[in-house]
Amino acid sequence: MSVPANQTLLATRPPSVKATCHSGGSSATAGPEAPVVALVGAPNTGKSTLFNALTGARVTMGNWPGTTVEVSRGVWRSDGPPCTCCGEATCSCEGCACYSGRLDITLVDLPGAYSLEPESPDEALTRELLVEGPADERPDVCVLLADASRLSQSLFLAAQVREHPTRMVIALTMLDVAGKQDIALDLESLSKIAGVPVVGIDPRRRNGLDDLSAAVREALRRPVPTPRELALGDDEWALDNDRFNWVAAAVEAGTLDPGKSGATRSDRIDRWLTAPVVGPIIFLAVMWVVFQITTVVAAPLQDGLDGLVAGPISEGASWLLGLVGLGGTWVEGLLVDGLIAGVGALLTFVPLMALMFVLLAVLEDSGYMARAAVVTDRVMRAIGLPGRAFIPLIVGYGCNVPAVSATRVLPVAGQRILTALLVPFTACTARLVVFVMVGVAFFGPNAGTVVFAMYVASVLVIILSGLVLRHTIWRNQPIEPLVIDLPPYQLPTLRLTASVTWVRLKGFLQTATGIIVVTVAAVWLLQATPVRGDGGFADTPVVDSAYGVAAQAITPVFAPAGFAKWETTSALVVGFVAKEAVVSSWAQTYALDEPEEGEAGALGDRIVADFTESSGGHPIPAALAFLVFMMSYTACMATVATQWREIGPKWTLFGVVMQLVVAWTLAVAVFQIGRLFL
Amino acid sequence: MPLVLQDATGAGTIRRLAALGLRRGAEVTLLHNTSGGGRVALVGGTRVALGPGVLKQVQVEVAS
Repeated sequence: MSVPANQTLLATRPPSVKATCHSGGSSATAGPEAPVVALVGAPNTGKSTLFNALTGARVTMGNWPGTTVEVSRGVWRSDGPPCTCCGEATCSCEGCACYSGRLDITLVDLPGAYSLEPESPDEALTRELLVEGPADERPDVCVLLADASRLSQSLFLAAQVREHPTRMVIALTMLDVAGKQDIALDLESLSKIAGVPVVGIDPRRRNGLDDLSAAVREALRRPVPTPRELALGDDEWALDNDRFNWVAAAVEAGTLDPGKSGATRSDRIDRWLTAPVVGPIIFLAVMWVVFQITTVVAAPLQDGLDGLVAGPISEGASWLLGLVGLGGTWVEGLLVDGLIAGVGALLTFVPLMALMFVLLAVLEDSGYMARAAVVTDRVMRAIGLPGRAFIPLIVGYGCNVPAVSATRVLPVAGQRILTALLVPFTACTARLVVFVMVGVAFFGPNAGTVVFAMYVASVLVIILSGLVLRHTIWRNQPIEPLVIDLPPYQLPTLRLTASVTWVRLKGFLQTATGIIVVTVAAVWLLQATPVRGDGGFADTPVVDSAYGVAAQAITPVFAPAGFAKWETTSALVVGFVAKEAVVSSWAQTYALDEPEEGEAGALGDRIVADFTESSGGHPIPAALAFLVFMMSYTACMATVATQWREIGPKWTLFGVVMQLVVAWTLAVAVFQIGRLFL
Repeated sequence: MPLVLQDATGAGTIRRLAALGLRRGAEVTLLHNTSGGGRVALVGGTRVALGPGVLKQVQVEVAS
């Protein structure tokens, strides 16, 4: 397995924005004949906001085929200006060339790029799609977003795009921020010097979108412009100098008043938020709030949904099946215990994921994410990750599923993959329940210390795995020194947050549903199929089912770890699907009642007795080995499904195998060393 | 205090700095220190947080 730094180059045919194969099922395009308009610009210029404002919900979001770079596509229903001769919005005048009426445009939101130099996989893909493919595969018009409050920086990309035969419209955003800094611009002069139309827009408030629409429609009618002549040859420095001179000339012509350069409100806030000592404290406070919301606030919503599915919905389905004479049959078992339970398990993640996506959108949109990256940079750098990787890891201690999605805050694909592989080692709250139950059963009053030790172990495993992966698979991935652009703080907008949340939630459900339903149904089927004894289909004790027999076959694997009991193996297999089900699986296979939360009960006593037997009289190290295994192997099927969506099948499978190897090795080490002393 | 950026090492870093407006001869104003030993630089209206690694590679001189 190699470093995924150049994964964007894996696609066999040249990538194209016009290609219809786009991962994520039905593709939102305006059809093969519709013009394709690409949005390009640096991160934080309002590109995604504009994309959302123009397309509404008509979008597909997903990784570009063969890459882990996310590209959104959508349909932009562009309404033209009223006809000049008849004044109607939809003109039908004979021979009229006013081009009014609706035009459906396929809008592609290319990954954020500061320049066309491929410094990251995101920038490499933008470059390929924009200027490297065959001319007829490129977008028909490129809308370049430029931040008006820092024009010279934003126009560098425009200078590079102008060197290619591409129709371009420059959309100036952040005019309100520029206004607050007393910067005054002359869009007409800027347009004249740049040789392309320039419009001012405010995608957050949806201002100027009609002007943009008109400019794009106008550009579509014009021939492709001749590329800007470059003064000198191929020398990198000379080329860059030429570009900077072009930018300087454009800024000079387009600026009436450069504004005041003193400290802004953002600077004053930053003095605190990025300060030594105070900055990290504020960051931890923000993370505490995020953690609280993804656990404490989400929990009652999850419990409510769980109760609804397990109670009224399951009972309703049983009642309906009873009406048609299928009550008590295997059909009821498959539908109620298999499919409804599986979909229910997935549904309980929905409020959690929605909250997570809202929090991420707010952190990004407000500008705080860039500050968090600065504050945590030094700590995370130790395991070869940028500061932002802290966020998914913190969230993972609440739930791994939204945490894997939160790896999107990382700009580079390799870092996203590495973080998504480390997230499942964070001990989520579902595992906490098992820790507490086993802790109370084996350690009585010291259970709290043991549970705390598991959290410490979880942090250590993350650091060690991170270091090992950095020095093996990611050996060649350099850590870029910290250079990060701090956008001005802004109040997050409700509409943007809601639309981003909805699109991401939809994506999660699309991928996760299939994987989870199939897994849950497969477990049910295996438990329902008798392979010995005289039970019938869907009416057999677990021990005689295909599932029980398989668990018994796997069990000897755990002998060196001291917990080779098939009931425990069975609980671990169920835990692969969902950690919430571990304790109930034990209860089911031992045919004992599930203990109250925080107690061990008769079930605890039975497990202690079994562990004492399987470990040859060393139940304490066997319990510790079990807990370590529980902490480090596959979190749950929903996490696997989310990884599948975020980092692709290859890395997901690698992660599952890696975790099993780490978990088994650690468990064996803990038991073998522990039994010498305990 | 405006400063003149003189040199940096590492082609990737140079390009990234350049794309943000930090290039040879550019006037920058250094703002406050950041947690982790870095500093925020103001260049052409852009605030860029630079880590200690970058600061070490960059030479600046006080503009007259």
